[in-house]
Amino acid sequence: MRTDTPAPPFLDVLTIQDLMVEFPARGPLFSRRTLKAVNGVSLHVAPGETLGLVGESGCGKSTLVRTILGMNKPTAGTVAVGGRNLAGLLNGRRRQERARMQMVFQDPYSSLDPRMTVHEIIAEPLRINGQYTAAAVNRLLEQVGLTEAMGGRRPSEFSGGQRQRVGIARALALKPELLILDEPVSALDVSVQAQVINLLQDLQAELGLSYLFIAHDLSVVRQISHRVAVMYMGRIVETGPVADVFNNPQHPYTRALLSAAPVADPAAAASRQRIVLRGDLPDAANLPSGCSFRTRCPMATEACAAVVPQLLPPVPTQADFPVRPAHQSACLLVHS
Amino acid sequence: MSTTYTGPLLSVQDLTIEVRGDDGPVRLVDGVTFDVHQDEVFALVGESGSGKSLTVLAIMDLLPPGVRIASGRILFRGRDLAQLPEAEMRRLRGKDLAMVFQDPMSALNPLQRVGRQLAEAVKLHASGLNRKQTADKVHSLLAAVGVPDPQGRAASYPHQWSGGMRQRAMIAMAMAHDPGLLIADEPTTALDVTVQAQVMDVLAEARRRAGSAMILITHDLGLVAEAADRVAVMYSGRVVETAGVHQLFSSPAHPYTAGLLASVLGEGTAGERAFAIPGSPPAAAERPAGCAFQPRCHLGSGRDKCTAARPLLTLLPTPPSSAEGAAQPQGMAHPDGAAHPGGRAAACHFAGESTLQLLKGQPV
Ligand SMILES: Nc1ncnc2c1ncn2[C@@H]1O[C@H](COP(=O)(O)OP(=O)(O)OP(=O)(O)O)[C@@H](O)[C@H]1O
Ligand SMILES: Nc1ncnc2c1ncn2[C@@H]1O[C@H](COP(=O)(O)OP(=O)(O)OP(=O)(O)O)[C@@H](O)[C@H]1O
Ligand code: SF4
Ligand code: SF4
Ligand SMILES: [Mg+2]
Ligand SMILES: [Mg+2]
Repeated sequence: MRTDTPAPPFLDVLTIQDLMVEFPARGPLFSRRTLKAVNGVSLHVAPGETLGLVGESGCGKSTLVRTILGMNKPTAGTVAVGGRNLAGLLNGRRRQERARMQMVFQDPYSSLDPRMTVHEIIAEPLRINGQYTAAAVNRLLEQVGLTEAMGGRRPSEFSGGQRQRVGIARALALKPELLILDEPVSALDVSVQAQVINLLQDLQAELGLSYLFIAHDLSVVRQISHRVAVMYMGRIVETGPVADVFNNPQHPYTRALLSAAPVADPAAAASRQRIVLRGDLPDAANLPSGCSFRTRCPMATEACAAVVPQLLPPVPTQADFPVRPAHQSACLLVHS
Repeated sequence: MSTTYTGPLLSVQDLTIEVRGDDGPVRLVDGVTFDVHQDEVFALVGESGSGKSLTVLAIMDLLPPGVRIASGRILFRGRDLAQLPEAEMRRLRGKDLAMVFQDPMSALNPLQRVGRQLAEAVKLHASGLNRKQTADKVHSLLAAVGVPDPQGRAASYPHQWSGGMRQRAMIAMAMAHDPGLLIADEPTTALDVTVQAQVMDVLAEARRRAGSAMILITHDLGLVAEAADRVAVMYSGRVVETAGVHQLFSSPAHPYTAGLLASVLGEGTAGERAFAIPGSPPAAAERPAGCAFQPRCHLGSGRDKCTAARPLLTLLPTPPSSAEGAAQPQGMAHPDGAAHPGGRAAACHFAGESTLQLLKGQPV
């Protein structure tokens, strides 16, 4: 949980509005259907801020990332970098704007070319952009806690955590404002995870970087995020400051998600109350009417089949723990 | 299969795995020893790159090219797998010994429909099934792991599946023949925690039905706490500690284990700087002569014994207090329980000394 939430900025680094990404899918008997992998997502990341993105496996997180980076075409909606809509730009200019965002991949083993030295791996984006100097590479190595001498070695001579540092150094080469990290620490042991998280936080403080941080491990997300967004079947179902969402989850899916996180204490494991979600995941190409979560929601009522709940701020109440306006959720129950 | 065999289901003894390096062979796995018993969930945890995956790949006889078993024994139901002819190993693999991999994409053929790949796995050890029976079995296996619309999904290609869905397909494939030992290398790392919980339930249920034991490799110590009966902790190619799950979490004996547990993030660490063991592990070719953990160890700095002699995995007495506190989780009690030989062992000259301070966040 981060308490040092940055002051409201002028322009968000990344703004996504009503983004839709559809894929063609096969239906029964060769019929054709569409799969809505991203189904109307809006989100933003402010300078110096970490937005944690969590959610169901297959809910569209990686598709969202690929679309932000231009590897998928959105069916509808906009992606804006620094307030500029990417769709309206010429190709060269769009590439320039996209370079303000860089990606750190999950797998520190397969994402680094084993034939290149670490120095060359980090140099690659600099060379492509005509900015290479050996000193620049050495500075990047130092920035992520590696030494100049280590640049001469190949990835196979590095531990998993060191390789992930290399991946971060490469991502930092072109001085991006935003790093997109899709499961950056899930392949690492918890002590190396902690090292990498600490490094990311140091870099953020030093360089004012923003992060879009995707992970299934909720304790990792809680540690590094200022705000979180919870995704289910292509939609954001809850978002807010990290402490608010973790301590006072509003949406039934978020509650189930948080309750399912295993705790590293065998004595407590037996007594833990897990909200078990019944039923299967809905078919993404054949979403239920109304709220997509209703087939598995323990609180669902008939009304949930009729209306698609919108992501809204809370209704003011007299509750002991009032929900703050920035803490929004998409559930009819919360807003009734 | 012998009905009179009473030893452990699997016994890995002093396993050494090497790769050819520029300056001679490099020991990637350096004398690993552990037993896995019938019905138990045995967790293998520890440092990234410590040799967990290679150890289980050696059990499956699936080591990558250039990497080989240099010495040691792998006894499965008393038979040494390392000495088994390839044909017999093929009969065992996928049937009595099955594995779920860390990266489902690397185990699936991208050019073949998922259903067809499962059908091949089914037919490999059940050649009598006709097309319809095979397809039915594939669909029921997929349904059992919670894949929606199994028919439709079976007809699509791996890239059309999300990471989580692919892993379910792998689990379905592994459980196709009710294996005696299921090896799961980070089976739920790609899954969200609600699906993870479901998959762990599915695995537990399938294991109960088939009577399988499981080796569970994971970095998620929460998962270990919830699912494992016993745990082995690896560091730099060796097992540095084995213990029952309650003992391991309440009183780790090895300083690396203590450091690992202290690094677990949680509600308490949020907003603070996370604890991390300082430094990095040695490269396999540059392991120091004494204890491989010495350069990073809060107990071993400045102690000659730690730099001079390699500590061996040694049985530790079970402290009476922790034996009482270590109630077995319901339904998972072991006939040999905490009293099992090898149930609590550590490879440290000063095992148990002040490791708890680390856990409590006190300066060491
Ligand atoms: N190229 C594609 N063609 C068809 N369907 C696709 C394609 N890429 C993704 N999908 C589908 O879109 C949905 C979202 O997938 P995505 O990989 O974005 O999920 P995710 O949230 O990243 O999941 P995970 O947590 O498992 O990584 C899934 O149902 C997936 O099967
Ligand atoms: N084919 C190979 N050739 C050379 N070295 C290898 C090969 N495969 C693995 N290694 C090395 O052997 C060591 C052990 O690898 P292994 O994959 O077993 O680690 P692990 O404990 O499973 O790690 P992780 O937790 O990151 O999955 C690592 O240092 C790795 O770099
Ligand atoms: S809208 Fe209805 S079905 Fe959807 S989360 Fe809320 S209560 Fe559940
Ligand atoms: S043998 Fe020495 S250096 Fe190694 S873990 Fe024990 S105390 Fe630390
Ligand atoms: Mg993904
Ligand atoms: Mg591994």
